Amino acid sequence: MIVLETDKIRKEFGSTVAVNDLSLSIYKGQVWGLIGPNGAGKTTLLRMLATLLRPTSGTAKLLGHNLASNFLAIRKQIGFMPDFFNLYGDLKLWECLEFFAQAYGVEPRRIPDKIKEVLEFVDLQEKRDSLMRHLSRGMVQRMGVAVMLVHEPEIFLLDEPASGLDPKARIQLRQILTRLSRDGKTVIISSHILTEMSGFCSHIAIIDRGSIVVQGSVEEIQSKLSGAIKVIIRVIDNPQQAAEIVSRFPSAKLLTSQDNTITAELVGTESDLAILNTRLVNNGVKVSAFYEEKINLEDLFMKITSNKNEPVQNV
Amino acid sequence: MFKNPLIRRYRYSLMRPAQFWVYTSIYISILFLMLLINYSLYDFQRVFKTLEDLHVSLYTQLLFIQCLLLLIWAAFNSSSAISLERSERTYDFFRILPMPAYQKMLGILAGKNLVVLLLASINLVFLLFYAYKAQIGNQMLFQTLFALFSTALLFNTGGLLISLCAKGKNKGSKIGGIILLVIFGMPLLINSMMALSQLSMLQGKTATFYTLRLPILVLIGSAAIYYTIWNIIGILRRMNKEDQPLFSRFGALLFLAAYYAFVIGLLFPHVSVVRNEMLAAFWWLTLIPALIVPYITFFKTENYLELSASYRRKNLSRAKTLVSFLFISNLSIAAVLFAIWVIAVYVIKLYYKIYIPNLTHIVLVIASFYLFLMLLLEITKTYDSEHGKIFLLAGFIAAAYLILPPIFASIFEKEAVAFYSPAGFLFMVLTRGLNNVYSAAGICLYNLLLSVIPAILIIRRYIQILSPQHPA
Repeated sequence: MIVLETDKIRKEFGSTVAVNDLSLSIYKGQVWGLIGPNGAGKTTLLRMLATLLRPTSGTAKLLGHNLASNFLAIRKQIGFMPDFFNLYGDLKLWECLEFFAQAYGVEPRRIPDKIKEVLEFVDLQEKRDSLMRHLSRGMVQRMGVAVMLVHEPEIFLLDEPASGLDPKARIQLRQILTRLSRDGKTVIISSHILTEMSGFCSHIAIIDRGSIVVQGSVEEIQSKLSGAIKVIIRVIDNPQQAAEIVSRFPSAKLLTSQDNTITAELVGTESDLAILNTRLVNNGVKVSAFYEEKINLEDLFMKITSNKNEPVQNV
Repeated sequence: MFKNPLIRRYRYSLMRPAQFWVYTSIYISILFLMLLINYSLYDFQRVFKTLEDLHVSLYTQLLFIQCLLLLIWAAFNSSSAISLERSERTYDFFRILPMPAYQKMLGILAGKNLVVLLLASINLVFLLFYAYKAQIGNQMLFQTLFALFSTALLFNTGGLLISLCAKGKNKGSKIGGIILLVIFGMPLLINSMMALSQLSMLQGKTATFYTLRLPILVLIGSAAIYYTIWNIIGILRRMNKEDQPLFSRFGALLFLAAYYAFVIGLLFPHVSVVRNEMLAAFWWLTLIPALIVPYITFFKTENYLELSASYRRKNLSRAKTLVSFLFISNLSIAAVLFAIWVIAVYVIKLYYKIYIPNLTHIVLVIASFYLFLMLLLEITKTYDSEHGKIFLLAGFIAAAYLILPPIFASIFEKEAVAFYSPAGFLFMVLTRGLNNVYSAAGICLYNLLLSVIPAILIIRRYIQILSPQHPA
């Protein structure tokens, strides 16, 4: 089921084109990462989807509602976390959550349980009665997620959620977002820090100068761009024999053989990988590890943006 | 009322038990101190001749406190709600709340003023008590309270509207504002205190609005209610369509027409008594809004771009696109607004039978001034996104346009030069009328020549906006 669809959505600020005729279809349960350098148009896109900015042209539908004409219905069903935000410092955590729950029309009798549930989800139940202004930046960011969760939205829009956080807070936030993606929520998250996105994004869209350079599922993009599977084989002894078997294997190319680790590139399917593994074992090589190395997002981003002038790729 | 989530939120932050008792105790202390001083003045100093005088004085003081609470403190709260959301970086959350705009408005007006409303309610009880003791007539009391509450609504909605329109989030400017308010506001407050003490003199005094004779306070209150309605419309529009101009096209026309109807109704029943003063007031009271309304009605480049994209979607021919664009452009709306002003001028001429020599020539000259100023304004609106300082430049040009002719007139000792400024021209019309038709033609020509370059720049900008580089 498509939950979000944009058709040539565009935003211009005077002569600056912040988002350039961008088309995107997002299905329920997908976790999309919008990756791009600063000023690529990620924030503008998210703010348009969150009904905070009106597109100059183009149309967008969120959960069947038109972005321009039905913004109140859309607002009820999205959770938005802006890039630089704060929450009401003079409220206690539970008061803040109660306010948002009421404003989003959560049934009054369900509100106390919902507050408890989301505070547990973001691990802030001990701070329930603290004032918001007494929280650290990382905690405020987690409260931002709690505020989004309290009305059980269909779509989560997060703009640079980890910016300004220390490493520990970053890890905590990442754990929360991973849980969201595991729970089957539709999430759109923007970042210019690529390592933030790897692991929990099912799909990515790389945005540069207002346009999508490439979009699709992470696996699709990886295989499309790399064209070959990179395999890491770790053996207990006899690495030379293992390297020889690999180099003789059809469609495999030995890349490195160092100590007990062999790296190879294989053009083929997953069953070819299984055959290679069996062949090594049958030849008496004691394989301690055999895995496919995922191309990381950083490599991917560099690979894509180095071909900036190429047309948009839909994979 | 407490079902409104915003009111509940403000109740949490402003009315915690400790805060509630602090506010109430301070107010009660002030009240008892006031009573103590006044009764002491009556008993020991014999300042008041009778007990009724004392009660009148107490009524006036309580009314003054009510004014302070509702007109100053509440208005300050209402006007600071949005700027606070902006400076605290909570504004995005506020904007995205899926509440109808009217609920947000009520939430702010009532919620942010919970403390004020509490104190004002307590104060009202004492006020009514002393009004009864001072034998203030029911009619007078009702009129006073009507004027007070309606003005409070006007101030509060106005404050909220201004803060919604302001973009800045600088706390410093707020402090500066408070200092200015204290410096310039105190004399005003003292004067209003004195005026309040004379309030009973208004008893029975009426004002004429067209043929209707109304008590002055009722007229003030009604006008306040009327403009409160406009404020509310503005607030709702601002909350729902933040990137659109404050006035819609139709809204601007309606507002200006209704405003002129109000001014004419208020001024001209008295024209037979003080003709020149009323005419002077009319010129200023009608021309200044004719300049301000376009400022808050004109489209910006972004609005034009949206319009242009919509034309493209409809696949209109080039000629049709241009015609439709020009029809809805800022300059067209300025022309219609000016036409409304012209109608107002001829209404007072024909309906009230006021003879103004060479009125058509005066109108034409004012039209030429208006043309140049509107072109300047259109340049600031359409070039602002590319040249951030264009407003300063246009402001400088407008100031020079206004000031330089009178300066040159005094340097070269040629009075006629001063009439090339809108201010100089109006001064001439008001003091001696327009006698020389040839000089009127000269001023028109001068304005038309000045308008050539702005017009070229605007046409260039329109072409850019409509060019196919901007896809639908």
